Amino acid sequence: MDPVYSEITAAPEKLFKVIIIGDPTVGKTSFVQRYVENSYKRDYKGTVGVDFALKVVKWSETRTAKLQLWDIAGQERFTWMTRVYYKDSHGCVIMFDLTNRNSFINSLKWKRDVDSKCRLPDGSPIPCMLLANKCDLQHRQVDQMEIEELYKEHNFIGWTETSAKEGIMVDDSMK
Amino acid sequence: MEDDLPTEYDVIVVGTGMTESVVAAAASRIGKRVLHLDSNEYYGGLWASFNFEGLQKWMEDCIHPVKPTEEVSAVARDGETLIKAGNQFSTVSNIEETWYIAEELADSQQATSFSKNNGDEQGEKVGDTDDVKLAESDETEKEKEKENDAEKAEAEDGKPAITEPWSQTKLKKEYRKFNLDLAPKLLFARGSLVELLISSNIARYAEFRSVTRVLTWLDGHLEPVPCSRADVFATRHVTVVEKRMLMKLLTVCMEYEHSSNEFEGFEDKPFSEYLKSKKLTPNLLHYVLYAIAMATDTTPCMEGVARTQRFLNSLGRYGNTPFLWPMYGSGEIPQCFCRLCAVFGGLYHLKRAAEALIVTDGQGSVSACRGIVSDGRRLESHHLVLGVGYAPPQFLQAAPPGGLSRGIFITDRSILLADKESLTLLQFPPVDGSSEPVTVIEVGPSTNACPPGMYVVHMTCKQQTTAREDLKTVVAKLLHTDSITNSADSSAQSPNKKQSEDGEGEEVGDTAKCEPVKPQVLWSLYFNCPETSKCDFTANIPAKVYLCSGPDLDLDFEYAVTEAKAIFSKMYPDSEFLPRAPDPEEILLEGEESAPGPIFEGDCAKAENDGHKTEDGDSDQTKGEEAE
Repeated sequence: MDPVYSEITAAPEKLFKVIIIGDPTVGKTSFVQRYVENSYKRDYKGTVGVDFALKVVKWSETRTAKLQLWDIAGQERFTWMTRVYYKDSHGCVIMFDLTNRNSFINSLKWKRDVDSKCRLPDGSPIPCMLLANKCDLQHRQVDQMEIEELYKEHNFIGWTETSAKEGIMVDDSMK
Repeated sequence: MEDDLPTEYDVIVVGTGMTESVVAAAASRIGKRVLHLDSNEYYGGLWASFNFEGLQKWMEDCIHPVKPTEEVSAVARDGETLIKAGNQFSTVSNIEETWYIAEELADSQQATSFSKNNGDEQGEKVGDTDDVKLAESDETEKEKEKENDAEKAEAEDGKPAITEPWSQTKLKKEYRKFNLDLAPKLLFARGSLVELLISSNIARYAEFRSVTRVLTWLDGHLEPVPCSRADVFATRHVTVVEKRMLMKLLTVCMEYEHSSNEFEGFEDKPFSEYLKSKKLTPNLLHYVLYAIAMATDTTPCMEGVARTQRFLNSLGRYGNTPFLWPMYGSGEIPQCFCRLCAVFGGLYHLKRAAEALIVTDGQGSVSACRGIVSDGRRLESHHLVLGVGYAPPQFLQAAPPGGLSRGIFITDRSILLADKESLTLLQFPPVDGSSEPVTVIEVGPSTNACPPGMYVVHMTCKQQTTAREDLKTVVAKLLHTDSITNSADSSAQSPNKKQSEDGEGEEVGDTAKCEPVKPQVLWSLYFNCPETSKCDFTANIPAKVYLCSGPDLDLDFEYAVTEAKAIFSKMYPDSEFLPRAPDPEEILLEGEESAPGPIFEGDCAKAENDGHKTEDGDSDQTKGEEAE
């Protein structure tokens, strides 16, 4: 089909489903776009009827992984998600807006929603990454101590500041 | 969350039950602006499935309903009236929850805890097999089934026996591993829902398991019903002569067309009389009437034939019986449709009610609906689709004519031992003076209904008195309901387990001959809820309002699908109902794969090392259970 496919015949390609959740307007969609942009020039948000954006990640000479990035995409934004959305995900990104304190507080609610609806096959919680978006902006309403605390107390696998606008830490945070 | 909800829609749907969700998906799919609300914080209403904790909360909410919303009138304009939304058609009654086991185990018993890994392994292993993905090709499915069966049989050998008895605390600790259905439903393999899921491509959101056996109650014990041709010939419960008779009869029913005169003279008579006229042995008559046609003594002949055909038609598509069961429970199905609706732009807001309907002045259908009042705001729409649970009382001329009696039982083993985990349908014929058959569905850990070492038994029948009373006879015949609340008694669970181990190595056909040990009920819940599928949803209702019934008595989702199609075609007579949704790669991967993303180094997310291998071609939609 194309080079990517011929390469992976030697080593099996892995597929990961990563869900991205968080309050409205924290920048989930921009984040996905920024992250996927390199491989997809088109504005995928304009395409209705899509569950996720896809990114092929090469993580060694012979191994590639496909990342399915499931985005709420402005849709189920007033509510918790269906289990259908969470189901079988391997990882989760919970995002909040550094300039919106409420979105930070709600991160915990989102974490609880994921944990209550979805688990890895071995019964452990879905690994969740906490992303503090819009780090390019002034007027922060959340300080790093608080984030550190939330991250430690609620079993996030990591946290970092990002800026979808400037492209800061976007790729790194997805590793 | 802040309320920047738009105020104008093509369709507002209130309630996330099955019919409502299908309509919402269909409208969104053709580009309509859809707002979908539910006053609960979960999807599905009376169609929902819950984990153990969620079910406790649901009961709590049923017993102590939330206060009615405050009056609102400011948003009505001249010539408009507000009609308050109701809740009496979703009222659940006679809730009875019972524990049959001790709260805590004595120390000595806890010491012998089984390795947790064993249990988990089992769950995963089973999860890997027998999975049914709805596909257009029947052949491949069948092949896959076979492979899986072989694999599974092999894997079963090392199965660990779980010997530790359950306590309330221990069961509650596993609350996440339960998916308990308020309205357990099966799908006929060639029923309208399966066809719809495939044709609309919503099947990609769902996973199913095939029901592995159909049982019946005959002469005081459970017996497997031979339903496929292979079964008929393999069974030892039927003589050779009977096998021929049965095959002949089933063939006649299957091939019946209106031109033939096979059923002449029986048109006005019950199906049972026709069967008697064929000189079937009592065994066979029982199989056909109660288990295959799922009829009663009074079911009219032609209806019996139609029901027999429906059963036979769905055979041979997935697995050994005509039925599929949704993984994670029936409550998944409405959610699949909700997801499609959202993906096509539908807006969702749970925990948000419609306090009132805005209608133009006038009586009944002279008036027309313009929208709803929600959180004191005016939300306008061309059409309003309303779950019957939210319907104002004056919309229905009479209270629902009937109700459902439901029982949910968590047990420590299957109602009939088999050499592997079974998914069972049992249509319990009317017995001992009770006039209604009881539908019994037993699901195990591989469907994610419960943790390993347990089963969940669902019973459903038409309400006569209360759920407990209506189901009493069947419960007594199938289950052990003696309470074992003191710790000395709770060890009684163990000796029984021993016997279950003995049975494990045997053939399916053999197990019936040794007197089965009835499962011990660990926990049970009874409740009654309204059955609204027989209600008249046309009189007294303003134009542009469409009511959707709640869960019905039938075994499958057929009624809701038919209802949804009817509502959709009233709203949009010229539009296609749920045309196939494109797969993500059909949209995203147009010649852009040649530019892979930046190279990532190191171990990509070590926490994610349990990802599964992809299957060529449709990797992006693989929804298989994760396997080790």
